[in-house]
Amino acid sequence: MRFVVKISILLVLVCSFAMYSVHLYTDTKLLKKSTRLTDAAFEGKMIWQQNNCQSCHQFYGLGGYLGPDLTNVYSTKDKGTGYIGIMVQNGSITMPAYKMSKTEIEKVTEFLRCMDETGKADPRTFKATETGNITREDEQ
Amino acid sequence: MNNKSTFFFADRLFLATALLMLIGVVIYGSLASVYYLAPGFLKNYLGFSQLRPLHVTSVVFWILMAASGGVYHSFREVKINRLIHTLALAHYTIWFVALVAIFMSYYNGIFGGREYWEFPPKYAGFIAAGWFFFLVSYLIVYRSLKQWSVYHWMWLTGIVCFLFTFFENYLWIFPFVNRDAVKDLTIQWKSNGSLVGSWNQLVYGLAFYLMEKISGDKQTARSGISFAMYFLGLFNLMFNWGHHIYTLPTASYVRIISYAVSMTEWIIFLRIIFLWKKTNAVAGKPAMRISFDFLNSSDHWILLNLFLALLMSIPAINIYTHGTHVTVAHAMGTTIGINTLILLGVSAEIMKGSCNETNSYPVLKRWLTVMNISLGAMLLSLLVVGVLKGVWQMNPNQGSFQQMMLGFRPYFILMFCSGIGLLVAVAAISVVILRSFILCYTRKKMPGYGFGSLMKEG
Repeated sequence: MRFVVKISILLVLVCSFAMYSVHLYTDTKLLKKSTRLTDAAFEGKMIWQQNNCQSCHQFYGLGGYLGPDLTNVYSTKDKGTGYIGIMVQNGSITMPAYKMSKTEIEKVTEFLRCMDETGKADPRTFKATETGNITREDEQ
Repeated sequence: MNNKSTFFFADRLFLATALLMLIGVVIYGSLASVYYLAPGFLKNYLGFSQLRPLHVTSVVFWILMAASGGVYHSFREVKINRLIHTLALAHYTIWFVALVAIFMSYYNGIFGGREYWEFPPKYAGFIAAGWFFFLVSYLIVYRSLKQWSVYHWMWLTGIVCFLFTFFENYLWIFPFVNRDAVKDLTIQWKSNGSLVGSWNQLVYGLAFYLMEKISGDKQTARSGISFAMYFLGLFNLMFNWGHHIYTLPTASYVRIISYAVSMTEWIIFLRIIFLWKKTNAVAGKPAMRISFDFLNSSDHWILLNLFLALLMSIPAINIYTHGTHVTVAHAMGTTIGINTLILLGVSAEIMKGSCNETNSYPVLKRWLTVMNISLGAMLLSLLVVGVLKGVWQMNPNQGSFQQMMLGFRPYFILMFCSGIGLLVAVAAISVVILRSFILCYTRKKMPGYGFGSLMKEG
């Protein structure tokens, strides 16, 4: 393969990648609906990160595997605010008890509420198409 | 012997440290796996939220440091001077200090809390600075080389893309990303997907380089088909990352582009099958056997993992496997079965070439067999757990998460036992190679050229 051909292919790939990346960073229609965090939820997200919660838990199936996916824990029947507070404060056999203040627990709960609003993570809410692709319930 | 290269030891320094990280990988991984059997294990002393980052960071830096060591080693065939030596040592020193700080922060429960880069963001600058030195030294060394083989392109791609994805990974510190939960996850997994692709470029480039030394065939690495495969790999590195986030509520074009691009990897898969016999025919070089054995083993795992990756890249299948241990099996299969085996092959070759070490071949061969069997058992346990969890996820009357995990106990026992097998085998191989490096220095048996001396023997 000649050098000029190699460089041409490389340039096309790099330019396409750069354009795609910038488009993703700036696309306001990237998301199906607004998933912007409130100030309290943002602070809750920082608490989530500082305690490395993602090492055990997932959002949309992304994260650790030791604990359950928490994307929709806020709206799950028999769970929600009270359940979140008790779990954070007391832990379980596997999960340590995080001795957080009431304000911190409220912020984490607000973060989980905002995550819940972004959509459904349950794989049962997807439908496969003939092409092997999938559609979300809220896309149909 | 090249006098200019005798003072250059950064390559072996990187490899030796990488091997220590590899021992850390299997120790932390084994400890973490106990949590699946005894949930309260060490909970109040070394929690899972600490063990996982210790394990993951060890994996990432084992791969990056061993790959860097291999590329630095290749510099010996082109040009080594004081500047290169200084840049390489600066890279090593910055990383070493950063790694000590990162591990200390994990032990103290201080995290950044992001996948792959779980340390506080303040250490990221050190990692980027060290890598920048690597890029500068690479450009200085290889700019004088007139005709680049495909692995030179792959290495440069890996180094540049790593730097880009690393910066991209830290876009979350800016409000336009971190204030939007789904955009943050989209960009995080865009960069994570490409990050893995970038270190794969480094590792597969080293595999190409090693195969060239083993076979003595310099044409393959310069052929049109090799470059076509390289560009296909690069195309996938840049655009197939979306298969990590099919279930995320982003725009549907992200899913469609990734699905279409991922399917082009069938070309690579079919080519591997087509070339299978040809690759195995190179085995008739007794002087090179151990590194060939490592590479040959990795070929089997490449085929298995690529097939698994292709299936997981089909969205209709992905909704069953996503978020399950099938993904873990794929991650383990690629990092241990492919990256680790190739990098151990490179380390063993440098050991043999640099130190004229041949006595340890039977030992290495034996432990390689144990490693392959243990990995096979581990992947089997993870795949079974993953499939069962996938079925559970789709069950309209699914029970609780805890009940499901309890039901997987027999498979977690198999996972733990195979993990112990991996721990023993990987640690034994690492110790044999490290011992040879140390003996090489204490006996002052340093011919200087690793791969070069091999070529003479071959």
